Amino acid sequence: MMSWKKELFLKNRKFQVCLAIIVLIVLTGVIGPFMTLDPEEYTGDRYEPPSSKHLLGTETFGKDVLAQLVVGIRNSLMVGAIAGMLGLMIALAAGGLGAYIGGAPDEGINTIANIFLVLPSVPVLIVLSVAFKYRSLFIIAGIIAVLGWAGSARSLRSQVLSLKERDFVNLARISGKSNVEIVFKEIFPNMLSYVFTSFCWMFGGAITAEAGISLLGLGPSMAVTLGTMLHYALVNEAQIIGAWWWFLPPGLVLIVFTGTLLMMSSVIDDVFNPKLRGLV
Amino acid sequence: MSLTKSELKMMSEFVLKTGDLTGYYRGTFGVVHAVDGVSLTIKKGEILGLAGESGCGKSTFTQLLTGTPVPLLHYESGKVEVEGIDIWNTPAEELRKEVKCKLLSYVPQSALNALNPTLRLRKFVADMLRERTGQKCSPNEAREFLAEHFRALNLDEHVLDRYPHELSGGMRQRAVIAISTYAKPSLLLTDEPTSSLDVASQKRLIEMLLSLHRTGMIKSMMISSHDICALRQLCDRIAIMYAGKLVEEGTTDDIINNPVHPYTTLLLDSLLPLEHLSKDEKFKIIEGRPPDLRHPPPGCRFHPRCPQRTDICTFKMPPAVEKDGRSFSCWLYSKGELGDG
Amino acid sequence: MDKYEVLIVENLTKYYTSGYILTKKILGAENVSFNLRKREVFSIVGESGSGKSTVAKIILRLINPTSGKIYLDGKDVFSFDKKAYWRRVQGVFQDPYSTFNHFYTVDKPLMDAFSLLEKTSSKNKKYSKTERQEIIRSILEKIGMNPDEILGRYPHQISGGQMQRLLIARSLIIAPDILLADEPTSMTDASTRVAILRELLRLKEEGMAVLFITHDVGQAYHISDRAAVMKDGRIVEIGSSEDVFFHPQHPYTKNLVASVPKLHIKWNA
Repeated sequence: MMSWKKELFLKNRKFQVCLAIIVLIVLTGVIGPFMTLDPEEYTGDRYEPPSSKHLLGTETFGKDVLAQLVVGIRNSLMVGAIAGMLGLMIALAAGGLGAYIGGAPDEGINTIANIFLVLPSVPVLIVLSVAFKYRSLFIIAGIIAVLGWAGSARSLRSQVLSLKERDFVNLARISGKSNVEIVFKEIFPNMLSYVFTSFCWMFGGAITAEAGISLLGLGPSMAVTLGTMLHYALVNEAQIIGAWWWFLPPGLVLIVFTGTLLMMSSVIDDVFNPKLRGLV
Repeated sequence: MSLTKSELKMMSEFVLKTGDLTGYYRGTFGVVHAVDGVSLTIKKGEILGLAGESGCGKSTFTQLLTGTPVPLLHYESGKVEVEGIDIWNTPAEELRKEVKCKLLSYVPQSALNALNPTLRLRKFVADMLRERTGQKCSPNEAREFLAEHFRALNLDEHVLDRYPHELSGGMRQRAVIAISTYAKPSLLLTDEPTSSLDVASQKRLIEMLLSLHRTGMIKSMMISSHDICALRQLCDRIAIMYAGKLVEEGTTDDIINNPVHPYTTLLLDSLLPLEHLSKDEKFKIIEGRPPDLRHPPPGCRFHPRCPQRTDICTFKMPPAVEKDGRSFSCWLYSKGELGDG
Repeated sequence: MDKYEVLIVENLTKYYTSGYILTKKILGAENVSFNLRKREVFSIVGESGSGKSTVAKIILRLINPTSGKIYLDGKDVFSFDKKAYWRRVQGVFQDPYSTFNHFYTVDKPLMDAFSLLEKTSSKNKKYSKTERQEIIRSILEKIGMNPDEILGRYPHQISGGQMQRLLIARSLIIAPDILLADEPTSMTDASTRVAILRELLRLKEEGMAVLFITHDVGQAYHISDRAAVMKDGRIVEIGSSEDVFFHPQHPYTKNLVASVPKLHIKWNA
């Protein structure tokens, strides 16, 4: 089983390309802010097109778009990562443990998950966002996680349910292992690829969700994110003025990052699930 | 090329003739030498059993006979002749129209699970007939067409009205074999027909195969199975395969009562049929494990595990020797004499 | 033969229910009663759906019966602490590939066996890593396996037969009074089958009670002293192996033994 590392990192072209793109974007977000102009400073004229001073031009107040972009990348990724991890942890606890214990707790958690799944997420997101007077990045991440755990919880639950019946679980039981030991040491390791795929989906979904509510103006109150950039561009009718350098870059980064993330998760799925590769 | 009279007669005597048939699996895992130079014949009217443990190549060999193996399995070399038709040198279209179902019918191992669960059997038959004959066929027509065949085999024709899940495993298997033999092919190939069935269904299936043969509906059969006791009840002759090679072949009585090849002897000794056996007749172990066919051992493939191996076994492949209506590949008997080779 | 009845199973019944409002009941086993004696192999023979796996799971305490009792040394099993019970009753399952967790090496189930011993030790005995290694090595050698070829490997690196024998070795570490073997040979080749059966017989000679669950009538006859035949959740025939398989009374058993193909006897076509 340890050969998957080799297969994935060394041989798989698709994976290497996806990983490179993601690392590039992440590095931009991490190092970028130290290398660009101050995104809050009015460093140029309004709506300056891209030039050598402002590589992506300026926006309506004369602030550098590139500076905003890299900070926006950093913040969007942060919200996505935190929401993704938080959501995954809730999903694992609810879906995984619930499924293993079975019986009434499992049914109860499953029902709650189903309710969350059915909730119309956008209106609820809007309502929750309005409820908080000051919305920090963490609060946004928290809201997204709380609304997004249900889908992953369901798929993780079905994984656990099927693994639960395997003989190695029975063997662990007759060796006197406790339920917690079995769930964490026997079942979860066999689910690593599913857990990682779930994380990718939650991460990508969270970034998109954040962009969505920010676009509506209900995003973080103070921080710059890709979504808030789009929001301001929209509100100031940048597309009519023709300042494509303001709304195109954040939109593109959003699409490229999320798309690459999902493609990477499908590649990982291929590696871990030989059946998907056509080798039955 | 003119053939002599005896050659012509020989040709018409056999329904199946393979010469050094070789097929390998090729993939990212390497090359698996699954079937290596197997030469086998089935006379018309004969039931041949192909026996061996899992991994010996019997399923692979059976697939190679059909001319359309699964992906990853590659025909490498050798001849396959069914009623004189060279399977691997015939275009696929001709194979489909002339050979499949009419001359040769193949029922793979998991056939009973391959029925479309959303179709009643008669619809499945209708689809199959339409594909084979090129003519339209309604489910009811299909049903009428097969009802007689089912009745002749002592099968309830109403089975055709059912969905697969409404039938037991044994019933499905018999239905699949009945459907596969509607055109009364000259040769029926089945792969592990009894393996997933319970004991009573196994018996009914064996009886059905015997009845197909006895009534002349199917003249010849090849049954591949690891259940030697089942083959014993069904077959006239048995061929034993090990690690992709044919090690021994002869009449059922000869093989069961007078095995020649050490592997055959050990294999039969390891069986535990429901009979009285003396204490030293049971629980005999064959040392070692079957070889990894990506790197088969040189010489005789059984030599690493053979209690009677000699030097020559370790580097040279024993030739097939024919004697008294049976054939075997073993250096102990290379001169055709049974004794110290 | 020791006549001491170490395990008594009385009227074991199991219904599987599904649904909370409109419950559906499926019969797993009904009124199953039999006894296991020390130094004996007892077979339960049945086709799929006969209930034999249900009985096995209940005896291994993996599922709870709907009703019925099991007594170990005269004590009601369901009053036992489970860990203490598993010290005395262990199992080997059918599919070795499924019984080993592919994420870990094959050593793991063997090491886990020691943790059971430690948890149930009345003297709070702990096994150090070296002690465990020593015991594992000596047991492997005793059953004829080479420790250096097996330990430290991953499941996909060894054969199914070696895995099954390792599972027997695991049971030997725990040294239970009763070993339940649920179809241990149905997924192995001919030579491994014999090795496993010989091992089970050796365990019987050393005093264990072996409960052998199978659908293979021939194997059941050759390995066991006494046997029971199950159909649709009930025991239809029970007695010595010779009686059950060669002088059956119940019509189902009669049909079963007549339908099994023999090697040296041909059915009249």
